[in-house]
Amino acid sequence: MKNKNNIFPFFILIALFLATIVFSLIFGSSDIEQSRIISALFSKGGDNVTRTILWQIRLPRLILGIFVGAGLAVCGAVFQSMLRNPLASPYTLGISGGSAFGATVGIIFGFAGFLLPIFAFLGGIISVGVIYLIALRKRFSNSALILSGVILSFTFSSLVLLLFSISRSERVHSALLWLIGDLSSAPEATIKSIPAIITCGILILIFYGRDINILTLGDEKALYLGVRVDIIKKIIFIVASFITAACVSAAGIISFVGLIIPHFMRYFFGLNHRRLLVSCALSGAIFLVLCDLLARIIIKPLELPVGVITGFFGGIFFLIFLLKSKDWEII
Amino acid sequence: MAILNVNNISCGYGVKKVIKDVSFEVEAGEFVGIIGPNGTGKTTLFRALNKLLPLSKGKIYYKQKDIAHISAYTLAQETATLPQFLQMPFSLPVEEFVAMGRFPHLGRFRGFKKHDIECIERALTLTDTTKLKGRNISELSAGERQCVFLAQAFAQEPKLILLDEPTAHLDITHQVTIMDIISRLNREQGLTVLIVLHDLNLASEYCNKLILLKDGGVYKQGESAQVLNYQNIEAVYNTVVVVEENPMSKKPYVLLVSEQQRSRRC
Repeated sequence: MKNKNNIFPFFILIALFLATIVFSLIFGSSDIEQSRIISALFSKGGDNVTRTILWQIRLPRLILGIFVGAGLAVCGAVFQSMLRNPLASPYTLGISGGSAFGATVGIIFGFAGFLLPIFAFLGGIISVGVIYLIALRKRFSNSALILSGVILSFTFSSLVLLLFSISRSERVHSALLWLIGDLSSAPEATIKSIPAIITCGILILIFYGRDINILTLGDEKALYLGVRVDIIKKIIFIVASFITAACVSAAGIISFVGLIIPHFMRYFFGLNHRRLLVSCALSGAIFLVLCDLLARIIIKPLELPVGVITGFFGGIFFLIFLLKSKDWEII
Repeated sequence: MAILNVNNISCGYGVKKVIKDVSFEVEAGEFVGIIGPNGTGKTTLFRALNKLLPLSKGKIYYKQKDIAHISAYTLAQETATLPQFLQMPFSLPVEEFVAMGRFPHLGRFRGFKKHDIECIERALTLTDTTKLKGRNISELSAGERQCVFLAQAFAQEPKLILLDEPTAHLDITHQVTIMDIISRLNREQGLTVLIVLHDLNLASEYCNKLILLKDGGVYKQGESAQVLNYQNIEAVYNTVVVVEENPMSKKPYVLLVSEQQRSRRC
C-alpha cells in the first residue's frame, strides 16, 4: 500500500506532460527553425508566419490532443473497471459505432466542416440511448451492456459499409480518414467546447472514484458494501459515454488509447480510481500528443492520421509490456 | 432481542417464486446455520436479506426496523455479506482489498483515520492474513483467498455477518480454520452469524441453531439435535443417512450410505 500511495509518480507524469507540450509546439510538419518558434513561444517575438503556425495550427491541435487523449484513457479505465473486463475500451459499448455512422452520413451527404462533429456526436448519443434502454430491461448487468454494445457496433458498421458501397470514392476516402482518427480536422467551435465537456466529465468520474473501486468487486458484492449500484452504474455509464462521444466527434475513432493506457496505469498506480483516473488523464494526453507529433513528422511534409500511429505503436508497446510484466495473471 | 426478524417473506426471480412464506428470527449473538439441498433458495434468501431482490410478500426487520426503509449504505455499516462467488478481474494487493471493507464507514470523502487502519489491521490479525500483506489477490490459494475475503468483511466492523458457503471447495484444515475464526468472533465479540452451509457436520458442530429449508420453505428449525435426525434429513434430501453422535461434542454426526451398502441391507 505504501509504495502505491506516494505522489512521486505524479510528478514524473506532470514533468513528462509539460515536456510533451513544449515538444509538440516546437516540432511539426513545416520546416521552421526551432529557434524562431521558441522565440515566438516565450516572447512576443517572431514573424507572422511563425506565430500563425504556432497559435493557429499547432496550439489548437495540441489542445485537442490533450483533451481527447485524457478523455479516452479515463473512459477506458472506467469502462474496464465497471464492466470488470480487461478488454473493455471506450468503444466497447457501441458509442464509436454510432458516431462512425453519424459522421459517415454527414460526409457522404456533403456536410463537412463544423456540422460534422455534430453528426458524429448525435450518432454516438443515439447508440448510448439504445444501449441504455436495452440495459435498463436487463437490470444494467455487465453482460447485457457488453453484448448489446458489441452487437450495436456491428449493426452500425454494416450500415457504414452500406453507405460506402453506394457512394462516390472520394467521399468514401474522406470518411475512411475520419474513421481512422485524426486531430487536424476539427473546426474551431469544437476545439472551444471539447475541453469543458471532457474536463467536467472527468471530474464527475473522479468524484465517484471510490464507488468505482468497489464496483470492481462485482455488482452483488458492491451492493453488500453499500454502493447504490443501480444509480451509480447509470451515472458512470452516461458520463463516460458523453466523454467518449465528445472525443470521437472531435477526432474520429482513435484506437487503442482507451485500451492500453488504463492497463499501464493500473500497473503503476494500482486500483484506487482517484489516483488511477488522474494518472490516466495525464498519460492519455501525453500518449496521444506524442503519437500526433510522430504522425506529423514521420513522413513530413505529409502527415499521417494519428489513429494509425496509436494503433501501431500502442500495439507493439503493449505486447512488450504484456511479455515483460509478472503481475499479469488474471484470476 | 432479535437482531434479524424475517416475517413470512416470499420472493424470487420474475414470476418464479424461490422463497415461499419463510419466517425465522436471529437473536443477537447467535450462530445460525441455514442448510438444505441445492436450489432450495438459500442464496436467494441472502439476496432478499440484502435488498438485492424485492419481496413479493412479508417484511424483513433489522433491529426492529423494516430494511426496506434502511439504505444499502447504512445497512452495510452494520451487516457484512460474503457471497458464494467473489472474483477479482484485476490483481490487487491483499491490504488494499481488505481496506475496501471500510467503504460503508468512509463514504466518498473521508480519508483513512487511525480507527480505520486499526480495523484493517485487526481484521488481518483475526484471519491470520497479516503474513499475506504485499501479496496480490490473484497469487493466493483458494483457502488463503477465502481468509482474505473474510478479513474484508470483518474490516466492515459488522454486528451481523451473512456468509454463503464460506467453506466450499476447501480442504478440512481450511474449513476448520474458517469456521474457528467465525466462531471465535461470535463468542468473544458477540458477532451474530447467519451462515449457509452444505456440510451438515460442520453446521451441526458450530451452529447454535439450524434452519432446514426445503423447496423454498422452512422445513424445521431449532437446535442441531432436533433438526439433524435421519427422518428430517431423508425427507428433505431424499438420501439415506445414518446419524450418530460425535463422541467429543455430543452433537449429531451425519454419515452417508452408498447404494451398495443400501442394497446389502435390504
